[in-house]
Amino acid sequence: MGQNDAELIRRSRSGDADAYGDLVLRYQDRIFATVYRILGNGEDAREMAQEAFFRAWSKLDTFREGARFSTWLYTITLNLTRSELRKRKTRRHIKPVSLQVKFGDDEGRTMEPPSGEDGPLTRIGKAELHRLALDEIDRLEPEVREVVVLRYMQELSYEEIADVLGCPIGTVRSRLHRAREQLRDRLSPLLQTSHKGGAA
Amino acid sequence: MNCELVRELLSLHLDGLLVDPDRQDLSRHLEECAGCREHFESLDQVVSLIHGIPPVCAPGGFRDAVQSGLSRRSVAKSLLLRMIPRVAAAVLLVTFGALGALHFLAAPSGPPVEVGLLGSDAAAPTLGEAPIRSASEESSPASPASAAEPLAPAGPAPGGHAAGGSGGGTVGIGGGAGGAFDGAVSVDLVSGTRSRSNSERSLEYVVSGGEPDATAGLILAELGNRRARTAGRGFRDTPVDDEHPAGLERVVPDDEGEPARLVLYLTADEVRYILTLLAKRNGATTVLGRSSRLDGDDSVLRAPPGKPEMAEGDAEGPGAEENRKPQEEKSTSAPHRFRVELRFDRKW
Repeated sequence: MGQNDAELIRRSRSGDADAYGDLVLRYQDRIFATVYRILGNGEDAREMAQEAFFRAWSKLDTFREGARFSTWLYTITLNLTRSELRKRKTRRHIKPVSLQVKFGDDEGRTMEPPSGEDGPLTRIGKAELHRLALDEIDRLEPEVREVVVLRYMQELSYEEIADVLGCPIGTVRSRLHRAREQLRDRLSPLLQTSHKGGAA
Repeated sequence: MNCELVRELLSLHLDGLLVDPDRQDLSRHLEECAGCREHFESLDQVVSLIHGIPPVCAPGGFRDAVQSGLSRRSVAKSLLLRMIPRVAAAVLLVTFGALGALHFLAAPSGPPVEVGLLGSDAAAPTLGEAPIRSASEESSPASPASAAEPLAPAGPAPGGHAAGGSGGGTVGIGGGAGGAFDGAVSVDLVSGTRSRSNSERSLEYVVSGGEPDATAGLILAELGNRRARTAGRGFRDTPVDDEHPAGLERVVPDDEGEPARLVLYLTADEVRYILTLLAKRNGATTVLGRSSRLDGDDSVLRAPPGKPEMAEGDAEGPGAEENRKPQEEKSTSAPHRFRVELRFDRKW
């Protein structure tokens, strides 16, 4: 371990599966979480995330030297999720989509925020608000949802998001602006209620 | 700075991307404008809420699953790569084998060819929309025996297109309106005669194009296959007479300069079968096969009174069941055969 992406990629290209395994380990949480938040199904997310790593392995020869591996991997991943969403739309097979984190289930280990960060909201109220927020994110258009997931859950910069999506930064900004306004309209009343309840 | 602009800048501010002097202007506006301040606070709460959503991690064993998946795919890919030459060789063998087997049957590409009927009316030279089946599957329904109509000799139809005037006995196969194909065989009925007693009929065709050996070989082989196929179903191949036990005769002329000839003693079904076969070889898209039309139009193929047609060829056709029922009756009398002479336009 301790090797940078470039070295692991070089070794992976020469057929070193262990080196690629290290890359997988390094990015698996980010890729899985991205897919999970966009598709909203644990089993599909696992398969799709694995497929993203399979694709990346088979396309390593096309990876451009000097590019960010994470950006490249995100691009592959989002292409897969878009394709999956298109299939679902075509098939009119809408699986129950829930972005809610299932605490303690087998689909994704969760990391609880430190209790000291609790604000005016109670801990139980926060969990419920998170569930509602995830539901609202899920209602966003897929292209807007992607930006929200990459920005607020993957902490990517505007530039990185633009690279991943292959669009101008201005597009990223406008999508984020739209997402925030929509989420504010839907969640603000709940937040006000929660604040009042928490303060009481 | 107006409120509309402020609300656009709020997003950048929330992401920490707003720089001076815009940031200072925004701060001043928020201090003065309660509406924008409230809007900002609610946006901030929403962003904080989303930021606070607990992250998810990949399920346990994810990396191992990916690596084992890669191994399986690598093995599959390796096997595929190793199999490709063998599969390709097998495909080539099968393809060439099939091409060889279908050598006689493969129709050259070209416009559809219409198949005329013996003695058909001019208005109805073609029959059926049924798709072409392979020659070995093809069989035509037998026409019921009925009183024969007078046969009128007809001239050959150039180009092989279905012609057949009123009462004319012209069968055109191959060529088509679009012109002749390479290797196409045109079979034209030039005469149909019968004896005064109506007990013997003969049909004479001129076969244009193609190699006589190949065409005759195809006809004989297909007839042999057809008879062998139907013989196993309880139908008998009744010899015409002692001289022609198989009902087939390849005429080898004494004079080397004389064109090739093939004389066949065939049931009406077999005549239809051969005509269909040759039509398909020439790329016909419609073939003989609709009994309703055959009944009305193929008078030249009707058996004379007292000479029922042999039903052998219908064992696999739509009328097979119906033809099996009177089998015993039919077997008591020899089926009528036509003497069919194919006169090629070239030597053997």
